[in-house]
Amino acid sequence: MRKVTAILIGFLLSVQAFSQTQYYDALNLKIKTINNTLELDTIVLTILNHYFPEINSTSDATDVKHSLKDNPFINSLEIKGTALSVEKFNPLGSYKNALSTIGGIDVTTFSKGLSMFLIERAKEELNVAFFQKFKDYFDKEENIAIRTLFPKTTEIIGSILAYQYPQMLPVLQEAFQSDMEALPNNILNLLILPKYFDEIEKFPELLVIFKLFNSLKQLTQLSPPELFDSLPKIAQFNKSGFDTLPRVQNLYTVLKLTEIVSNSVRVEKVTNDTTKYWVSSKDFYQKILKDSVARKIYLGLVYQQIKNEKLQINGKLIIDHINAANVKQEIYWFDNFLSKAVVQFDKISSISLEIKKKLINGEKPGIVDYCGYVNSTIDFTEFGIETARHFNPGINQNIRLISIVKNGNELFENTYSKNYSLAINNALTLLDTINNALEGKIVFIDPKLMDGMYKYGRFIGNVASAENPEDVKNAISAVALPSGSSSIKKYQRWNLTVNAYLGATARLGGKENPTSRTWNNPISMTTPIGLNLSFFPMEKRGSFSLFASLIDIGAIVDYQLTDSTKKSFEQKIYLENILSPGVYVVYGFWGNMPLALSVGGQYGPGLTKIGDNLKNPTWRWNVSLTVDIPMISLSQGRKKNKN
Amino acid sequence: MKVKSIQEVEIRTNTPSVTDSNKKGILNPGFELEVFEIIEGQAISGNNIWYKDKNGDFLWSGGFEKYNTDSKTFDSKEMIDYNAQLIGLSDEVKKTQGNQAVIAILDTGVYTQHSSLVGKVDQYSFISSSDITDKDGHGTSCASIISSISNENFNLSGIANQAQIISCKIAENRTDFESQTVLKALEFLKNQGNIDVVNMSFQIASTQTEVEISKTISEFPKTTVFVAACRNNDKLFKSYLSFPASNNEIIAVGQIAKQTLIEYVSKGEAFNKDIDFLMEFMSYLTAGIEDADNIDSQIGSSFSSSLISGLCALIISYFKQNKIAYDREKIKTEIQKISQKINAESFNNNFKILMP
Repeated sequence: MRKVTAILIGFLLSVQAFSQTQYYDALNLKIKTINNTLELDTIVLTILNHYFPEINSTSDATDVKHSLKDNPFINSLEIKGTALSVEKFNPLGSYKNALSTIGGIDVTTFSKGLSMFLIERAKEELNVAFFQKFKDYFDKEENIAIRTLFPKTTEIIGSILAYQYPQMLPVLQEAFQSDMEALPNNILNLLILPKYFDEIEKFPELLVIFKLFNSLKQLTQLSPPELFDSLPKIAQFNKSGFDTLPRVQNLYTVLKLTEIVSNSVRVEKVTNDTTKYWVSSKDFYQKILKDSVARKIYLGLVYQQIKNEKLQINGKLIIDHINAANVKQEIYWFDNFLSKAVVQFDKISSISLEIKKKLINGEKPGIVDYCGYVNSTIDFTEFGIETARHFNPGINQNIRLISIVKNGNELFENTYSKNYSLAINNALTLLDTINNALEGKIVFIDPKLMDGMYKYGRFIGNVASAENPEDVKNAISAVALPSGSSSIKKYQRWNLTVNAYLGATARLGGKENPTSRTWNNPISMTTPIGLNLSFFPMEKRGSFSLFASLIDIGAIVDYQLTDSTKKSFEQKIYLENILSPGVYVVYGFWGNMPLALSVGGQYGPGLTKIGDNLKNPTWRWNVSLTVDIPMISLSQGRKKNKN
Repeated sequence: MKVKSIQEVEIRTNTPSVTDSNKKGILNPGFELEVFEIIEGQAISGNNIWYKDKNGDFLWSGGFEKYNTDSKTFDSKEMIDYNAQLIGLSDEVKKTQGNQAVIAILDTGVYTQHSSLVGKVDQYSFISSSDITDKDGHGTSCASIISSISNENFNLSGIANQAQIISCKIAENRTDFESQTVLKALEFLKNQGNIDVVNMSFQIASTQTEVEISKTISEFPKTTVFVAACRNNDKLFKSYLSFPASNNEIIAVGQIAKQTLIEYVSKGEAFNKDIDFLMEFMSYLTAGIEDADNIDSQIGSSFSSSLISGLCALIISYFKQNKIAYDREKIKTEIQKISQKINAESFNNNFKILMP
């Protein structure tokens, strides 16, 4: 059963490698279709799986025919038959190799990554933390606005102060940037807070506008078709009762149809052709519209996509309309519609590539360039609307908001330009404007908190705008106070963690081992990782723990710290090479020092130095001075000073 | 084919060879192994023949009771006689050897130069630009199960080896069956007018042509029996059957392993209601292609349906000899009489006919 599961997983993982777009999938399936008969092979099954999830690597002609039977465009395709013997027809055969690679654990990459992580952690452990006041501001119960506008920051601040303090520098900057980039969307989240929602939901278009801003911001990261991919999410709120409102649902359907049409004619990702995003209108006409079989397959795949998405207009499934219609008439309508759509794609590509060219030449595209792009993009959503109207002529969608979006605003512009301090101003002003639009029925930010909002908001904006980690560290170090997650051991009654101790170890008594065995240097680098149970908190005087090591990557850490070239080492490392069971009693140093002195015994590990031969592991009693690096807190008791 | 281990045999994954990394386990002496495929691999003590089991693992053949690989000739001490091995059928019926029946085999053709099939097969081809002989082996195996006659070099006898065989080549190989070709062959056979049994060990999938094929089948005399293979094992539990087995006029025959039966029955799954007969998932030794005395080993319902086709020929011959009126329903009823309801205990003889 596990084998079958692995085969299926392998199959599913391979899906992305084949499936491209309806255009290419149709052409690939067309190649495998001779005299209206489709021949099944791994590629065909993989493509079909993308549209018919029940089709997998074990599907045969009968299964595929069964899956296609309800698709009016392609249910007339014949599937090439087979004899019903087992031995010489094995569609799973090609997956056997994938299976054979499972097993045999090479932990080289893992251990290298782990060692680098620990080194960085050790440095940070000695150099962090000042955000308590900042956190306090976020923690104020009435300050829901800042938590909503900066959710990532809120999340990181809360968790880091509790458990992962040393990671905060890079993580926080990332959180700040993430929050700033998402500011238009976060304003949306503020608007749909339950306390405001009754008023706001009277204007769902308003919400869509803000979500659309968020997507437009990604112009530089997304190609035009990728932008279309993100559009349907704009009309998805994941809020019970709201997503099912016909006005919202219709918006979603329009944007989803736009995405489906766009994706159906995208150029192959594998070509890396950066000069075009969609197949040209000429190619589409000649290869799809002029070829009756390819056109049938293409429409069948698009149909299946629409069916799988269960798209509705005014509560009625779109495929119900298609099923009820005359297939030939539908094909003619699609011919006409698609001919126009691909011409529009040509236009969007042209404008987008013009912007791209400017960026490559070091010029900064102006807002005019982007407005042109935004307008052409929004124009394309008219095709989604046209499709929706085709499927339900009665629809009179409140799509007027799209013309509002075309105008853009300063928030989008400043967020895009990374003028984050200005963007903060824009956001706060915008909230005020909405407040006015809603005739003062909502107060988003308590006036008493407004000063802090500007102060911390700008601080977040400045850190987010910093161009390198040093800028951020310097800024923070000015107000930083030493701290460490290791200190938790000094205050909790007990604490169970996955822990690392990075430092030096020395032999405790006895003779040195011969060079053929491990532990043959009196002092060496050690980085044991294992389970740590702290059980004797002494607050400022330190703590005692029992530590059971499982692996030791001291050799790799040593290499990372001492190798000036910073080149990656070639040696393969297997789990057994770093296995190193041992037991230590650990004293955690007083105050806020994240240092530890440990005494105990340890076996191995076989890997003592990168580049040297593996050695025979042996047991040795050690005393070690290390940096205490708790990695994952598994469980802990209450604080010592509380009942 | 089943073999028995005579020593500890290491089970190897991925490749039929001895490496440090491909040892999966050990098979103790005295264990029976069902061989799914015989392949060449690393030579050990001069023997490079390995067995592939149902899990896709490899076991060196030298650890098992000897299987002759020096010669392609089938020199089994015990004769394989599909007629004799069939359970439940009266001797009177068996001894007709199908002598008054004409069986059409729609398949990849038949290798008529095989010593057990020489002079027994009329051949027709329905595919263009193709050699009429069998290049795949699938059709030859079907024909062999029905009508091989043993000789000094090939000790295997078909179930109805006095029946007349008409080979209709409709595919070049076993992955290449098309519905239009099937239709052409059936039209041809319909016009022949003397066909007693039509064996179809394949699946095709064409909504439109299936209708035409069904229509053609309905135009045959009611005395012509159609036998078609169903898909194997877990696919027997799907809500839909493969075509042509799904046609109501056709006897649908499937092959299932005991393990699959137990797994699906324990999940409360039921067989597709249109399956008529089942046989154990097993390999059949048959005539092979390319050499007059070659042997092949085949697995799948294709070959169980061939066995049932031969059985139909026996019954039809018996009815003809005794001037008993019959139609295809009556033939099916006769087979049902010697069949038993399938359950986990049914799997004690490979040649027992089972019913869902």
